[in-house]
Amino acid sequence: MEHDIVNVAQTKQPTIFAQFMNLVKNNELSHAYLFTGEDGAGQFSVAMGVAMRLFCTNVQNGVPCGKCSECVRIMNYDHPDVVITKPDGQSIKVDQIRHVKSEFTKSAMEGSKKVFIISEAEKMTTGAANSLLKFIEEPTGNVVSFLISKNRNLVLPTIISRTQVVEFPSLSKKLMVAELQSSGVKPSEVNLMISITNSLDQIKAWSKDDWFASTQKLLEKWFTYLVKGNAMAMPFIQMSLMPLITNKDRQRIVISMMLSLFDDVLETKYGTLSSDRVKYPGILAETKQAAVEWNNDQILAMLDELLDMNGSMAVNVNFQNIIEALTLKILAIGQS
Amino acid sequence: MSYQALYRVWRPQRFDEIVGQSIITRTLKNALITKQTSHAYLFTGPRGTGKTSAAKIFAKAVNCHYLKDGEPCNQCETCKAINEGSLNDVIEIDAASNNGVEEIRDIRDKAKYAPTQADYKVYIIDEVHMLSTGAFNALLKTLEEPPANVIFILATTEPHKIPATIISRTQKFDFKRIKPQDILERMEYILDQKKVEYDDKALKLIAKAAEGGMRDALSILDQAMSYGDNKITYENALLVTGSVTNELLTTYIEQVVNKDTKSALITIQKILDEGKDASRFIEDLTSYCQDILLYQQDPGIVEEMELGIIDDKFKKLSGQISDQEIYQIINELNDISNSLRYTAHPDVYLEVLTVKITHLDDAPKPKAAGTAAPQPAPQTTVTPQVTTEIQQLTQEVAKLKSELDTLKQAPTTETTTISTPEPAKPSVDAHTMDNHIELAKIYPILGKATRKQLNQFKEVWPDLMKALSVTQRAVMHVSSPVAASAGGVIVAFEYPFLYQKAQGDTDLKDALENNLDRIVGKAPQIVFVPENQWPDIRKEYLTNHKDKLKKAVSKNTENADPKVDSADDEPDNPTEGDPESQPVVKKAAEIFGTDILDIKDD
Repeated sequence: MEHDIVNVAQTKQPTIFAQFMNLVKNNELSHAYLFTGEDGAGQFSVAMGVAMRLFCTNVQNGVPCGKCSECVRIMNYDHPDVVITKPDGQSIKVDQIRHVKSEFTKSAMEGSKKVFIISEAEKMTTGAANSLLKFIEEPTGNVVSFLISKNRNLVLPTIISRTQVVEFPSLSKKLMVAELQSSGVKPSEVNLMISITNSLDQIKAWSKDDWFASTQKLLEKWFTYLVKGNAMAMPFIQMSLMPLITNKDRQRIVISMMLSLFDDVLETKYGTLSSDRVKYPGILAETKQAAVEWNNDQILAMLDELLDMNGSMAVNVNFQNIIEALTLKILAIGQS
Repeated sequence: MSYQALYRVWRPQRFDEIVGQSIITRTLKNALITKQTSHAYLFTGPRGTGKTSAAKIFAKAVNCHYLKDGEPCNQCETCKAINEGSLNDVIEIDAASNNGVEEIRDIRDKAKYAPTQADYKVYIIDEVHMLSTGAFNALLKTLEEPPANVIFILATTEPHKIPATIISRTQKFDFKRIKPQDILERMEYILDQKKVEYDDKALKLIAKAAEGGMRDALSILDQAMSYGDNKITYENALLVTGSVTNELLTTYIEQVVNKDTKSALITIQKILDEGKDASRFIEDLTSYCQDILLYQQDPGIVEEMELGIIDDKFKKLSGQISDQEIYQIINELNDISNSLRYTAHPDVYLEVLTVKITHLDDAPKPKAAGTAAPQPAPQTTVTPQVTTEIQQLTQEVAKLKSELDTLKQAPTTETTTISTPEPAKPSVDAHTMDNHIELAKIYPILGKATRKQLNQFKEVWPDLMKALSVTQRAVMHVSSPVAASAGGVIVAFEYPFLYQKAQGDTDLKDALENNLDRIVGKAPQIVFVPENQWPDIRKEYLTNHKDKLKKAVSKNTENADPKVDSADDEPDNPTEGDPESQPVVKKAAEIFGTDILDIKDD
């Protein structure tokens, strides 16, 4: 996996990557960039690719070779002049930034340039982010920094104004579908998975065990109860769904899956759901029925409840409580 | 030398070059010319408005011996040294990373020594809002009376985090956001100097996206330049700013106005599929709505703000959409933009938003929806609907007047002892075994009765019961309040004999009134009625007081008559179609509450 960074960057973001290769060639690289975009849109790979391009001793067609000792060292996070910072736990701490800053002030060990990559920059504490400001604004010497963040709104505005912001478009759906299908993911799951994440690695991890598939099945059953207004939906959570949801990650995934399910309903209601985008192909009949039976306001009210779940999660409400409450509310809305 | 970002290359070196802050630069220059410089300055303002630049220029100017009109020469040794950052006496400190008391102590100690090369020792403390409280306080004394020839310049984007004691010791300058027009001119100047081709529209877009920060503008410009091989095109500017094209926005709003949910949803999907940032889209949408709103008031403002980018579709749209709709849309957008910050599902939010704003009219005013959408009803002409309503109303007035006349004659035959006309008394008396029901007390209470009061009494009723003695409680056990006003409460009894018992029991009444006084803080008059007669009394009251209520109606309609041609009055007039708005019904609803009211049309 480590050896195809350039490849990944090229397939995921061909234009942006080519752009940067060009910048390096013309020596027009600025000193600070902020890469924004959803997870898995290739920000890290592009940043690494640029670093490799800067150090590679054997550039081919304007692209780093990925084989020379410099490239290999960068890919193994071993290069002294390429400083990579990732959050330590929940946030990037001031201590970590101190280390980065002390690196900033030192001149390069081997060559004449240094590269800094800070991924998940939105997780910097306020103190950490503020202390970076001056270094990002006018670094001494030949320095390039890449900040990577999922959401540009979470990054300090004073940082944004000091960087060039590059927005990474999400991967095109077709590309992902094709890749997933070729790697053996069941077609009935592909759309749902894509709607939840953009990261191919994550999807591949999911498809290794049958957790995802069985959760999808259970949710379909749950929804069938809901459409019929059957109160069985409530005990069903305790009996079948909860045993599968074993950790916080999975809780989030289940919430996303539920959202996608009702998204299907909304789109069916307005006829914008083309057949190749259906996320739950197993229960087409039920979603159609739901779209007919529930009126616009009901569906919106349900979606509001679903969207509220993230808030409850954030304040550590018990997960089972959250989805049971949700189920009851949806049943009530459906009958009103 | 590696490539330097535009904002570093073009950092202003003279006060004149600072854009859009003429008041501040003139003040500083005058102070320099008259040698009235202070020892401490605080520069505040949004990012990229020139705070740090002004501080650096000021540091040069106080030390430059060849000052010309308050501008540093940028030629002499000191100026050059400061530009290079090699002068020991101009000390730039990043408060964000030196935010402890220790660092400030260090400054304090070193400030004592006289400057080595230049005339003044200048401390520029940037991002000063990050100093800890201890550090701020450690600085106070030094800041108030620093040694001779020391100047402090504090710069920050967040002045509210600075203690008042610091602010009062400094001269404070508020840097304003730079106007798009000024940013535009500066960018044009830079590009002309660099001999880069540019598209006018692209620069306008960048100037707008920069939100008043020059550094933002130059960063974006830099990026757009590197995207397009030293040419700035509109497409590149769009790409770099991540803005949704105006065309897409216009289409989307058009679809929203036309209530075309399906196509609007498809547009949203298209926008998201292109990898546009959802919150950016919401921002763009909000500012578009804002523009429409402003354009409706004064086209001139928008033309100036938008730097003249206004197309025909925009003009058409702003004529089509009512301001009420815009308010509602903006409200929804606000709600969404808050939620969007913390979600991983922007797509669902946007879809929900779309459905909501395409269904806006349905919820608040179901009746108007048919006529209001998609084109708002013209405001001055009389629609057929209004004329028929007026006809109905005049008929009603005539009818009411005749009824009023008959009613006026009625009371003369059946006078009652008490204030209100009350032909009902005999009829009530007829079937209440000779229980004297205190109608005289009941009617005034009913006249002012509100549901709210009743609910209040119902709430305290159990408490009140507990406060009574056992025998009293036994009597009151089957009673409940049925109507109440601020001054009195009517209590109905399930069994007539208990009612009689209670009626004769003055102790009980006293106890009730005393306890009520204790619980709710007032002693309302308490009136008892037997429950089997309550509906009759109520009905009687309503029919007897109809004339009063109807007077109110006729007043309304008469008032409306002279200016029927203005449609503004429409909502005031009661309409036949809606029974809930008739005054009699309204009054009834007021007394008994809408939840128990069943309106029958007969």
